[in-house]
Amino acid sequence: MRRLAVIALCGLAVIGSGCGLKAQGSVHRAGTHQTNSTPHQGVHTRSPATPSPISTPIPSPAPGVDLHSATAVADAEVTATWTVDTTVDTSWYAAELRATAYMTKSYATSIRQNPPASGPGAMWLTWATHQATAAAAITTEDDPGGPIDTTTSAYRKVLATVTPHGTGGWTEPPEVWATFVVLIRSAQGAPWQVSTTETTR
Amino acid sequence: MSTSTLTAAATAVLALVFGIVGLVVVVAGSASSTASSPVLATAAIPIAGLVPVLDQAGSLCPGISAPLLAAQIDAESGWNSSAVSSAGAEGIAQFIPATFAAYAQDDAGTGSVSPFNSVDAVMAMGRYDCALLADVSGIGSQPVSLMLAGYNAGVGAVLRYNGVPPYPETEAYVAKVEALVSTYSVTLAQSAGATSFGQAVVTAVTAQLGVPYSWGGGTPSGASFGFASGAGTIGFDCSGLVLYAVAQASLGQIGLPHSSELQATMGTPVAMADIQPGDMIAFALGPDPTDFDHIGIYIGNNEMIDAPYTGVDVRVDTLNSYWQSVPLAIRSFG
Repeated sequence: MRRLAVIALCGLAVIGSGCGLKAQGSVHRAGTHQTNSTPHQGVHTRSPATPSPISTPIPSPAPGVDLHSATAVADAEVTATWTVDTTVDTSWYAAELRATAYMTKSYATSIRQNPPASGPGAMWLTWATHQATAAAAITTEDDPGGPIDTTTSAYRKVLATVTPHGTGGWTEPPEVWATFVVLIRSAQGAPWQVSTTETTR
Repeated sequence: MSTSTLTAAATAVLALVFGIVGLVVVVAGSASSTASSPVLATAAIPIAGLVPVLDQAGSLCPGISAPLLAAQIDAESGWNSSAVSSAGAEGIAQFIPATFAAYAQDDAGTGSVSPFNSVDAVMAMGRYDCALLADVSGIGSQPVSLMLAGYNAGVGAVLRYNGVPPYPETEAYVAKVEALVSTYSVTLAQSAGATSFGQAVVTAVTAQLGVPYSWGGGTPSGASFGFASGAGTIGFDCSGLVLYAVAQASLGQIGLPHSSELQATMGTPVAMADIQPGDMIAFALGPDPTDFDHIGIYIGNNEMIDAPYTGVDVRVDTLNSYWQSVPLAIRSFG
C-alpha cells in the first residue's frame, strides 16, 4: 500500500526545543579529524574522531506519531531527517539530531557523537542563500523482495521528496532520496524504534 | 605520451569497462589525465585555470582522480571559491579550518596558505583524500565510497562502522559525489548506426545474471552491499539492478532513483504492444494498482531480467500469464 504524507515544516521531532535547534546544528567539531602528524610528513594515521558530546537531551517524538506502528515511526524518522529550515539550521546535521527522537539509544548516540566533518554542501549553501525551508513528502514503498517483518523487527523503504522553498517564491526541483529503515522493539506491543538506516538515491 | 594517445587509451579502457560495442568517443573539450585514471572533461570545469591543478591533485595517489575531485568540489561548494557555510566550512573544498591546516601547503606560491585560494584548497583536498584512502584501506571493496564517507563524517566513524556509517548526510554525500563523477569524465556517445541504447541496457543487465539478490544493493557502478538481510551480500535488488543497467547504458548520464515506484514514472511510456529490448517493465504486485513494487528490464522474446527476492539470483523471467495478469508499466529511455 502506498501512502503519502506531506509533513509540515518542523512539525515533527522538535518538541520542546523549537524549530531548527540552532544550538545543536551549530556544534561543529573542528577537531573531528584529529591528525597525529601532518600529511606532508608522510604519516596519515589518524586517531578515530573524538567528537564533542551533544549536551542537549534527545528530543521526544512528536505527538500524534503512532509509535506502535513501524511504518509510522519509519515515516516520522525519515521526515525529520529531511525537513530543514536554513534560516535556523546550520546543516543537515540539525535535522539528523531531531530524527534521533525515533531512534534506538545506540543509533541516536552514534549520530550525536559524530557530527559531520565537512561543510553541508553546495546544495545547502544555495538553499541558505535563498533562506529556504524544505518539508519532506514521504512515500512508503512496498518491496516484495525485502526482508519479512517479525514480532520484534520490521523493515521499511521510505522515499523522501524534498523541495526547497525560499524567499520571493524561489524554489528548485526536488531532491529524492530512498531510505531503507530497520526498526526493532523489545516485545510485541512495545513501541518501535529505528535501529539503523541506509540512504541512497 | 600525447594527449591523443591518452585519449585513445582511455577510450579503450572505458569501452571495456562498459562493455558496449560500437561506441565512439566524444570528448567534451580536450582531455587530460593519466591513462590509468578517468579522463577529466575539461570543458565541464567552470574555472579553467583549475584544470592542471585538478590533474595534479588527482594524481597524488592511486584511487583518486581529477574527475573525482571535481565531483567533490561540485558537491561541496558548487565551485564557489569564497563559500563559507554557517557550519564553519570554508572555500571551494569546504574545509574545516583544522583539517585544512593539516593538509594545506602554499601550492599557489603566494607566500601564504588559504582555503579561499582554490589552488591551495584543491591540492589539500587531494592530499586529504589520499590520507583517507590510506586510513580506510583494507576495510572493504569500495575504498572510494569509504574515503568519501570519511571526508564527510570523519574517518573515525568509518572505522567504527567498518564501512560507510549510517548517517543520512554522509550516505547522501557519497551517492551524490559518485553520481557526479560522470559529469566530469570524458563522455561517450553513440555514433550513427551503432548499437542502440536499449541494446546497451540489455548488455549491461545480462552481464549481471547470477549476481545475488541483496535488499538495498545496486549502484550506478555495479553491485554493492545491501541492507538488513542484504547487508552481507554484494548484489542488487530489483530497482538497484535497473538503475545500474540504465546508468551503464547512458554512461552515467541517466541517474534513476533507487525506487521501482519512481522508476515506473520516468522515461517515456510504452504500450505493451510496442515494448522493445532495454525497456523497463514494472509491476504492481500488491493491492494498489498504481504502486509498482517490482521492476525489471525487458530483453526481448517475451522475457525480462530481474532481481526477484532474497535467496534468488538475478535471472531471466518469462513474462507468463502471471506477470501479464497484474498491472504493469513500461518505460523507455530511447
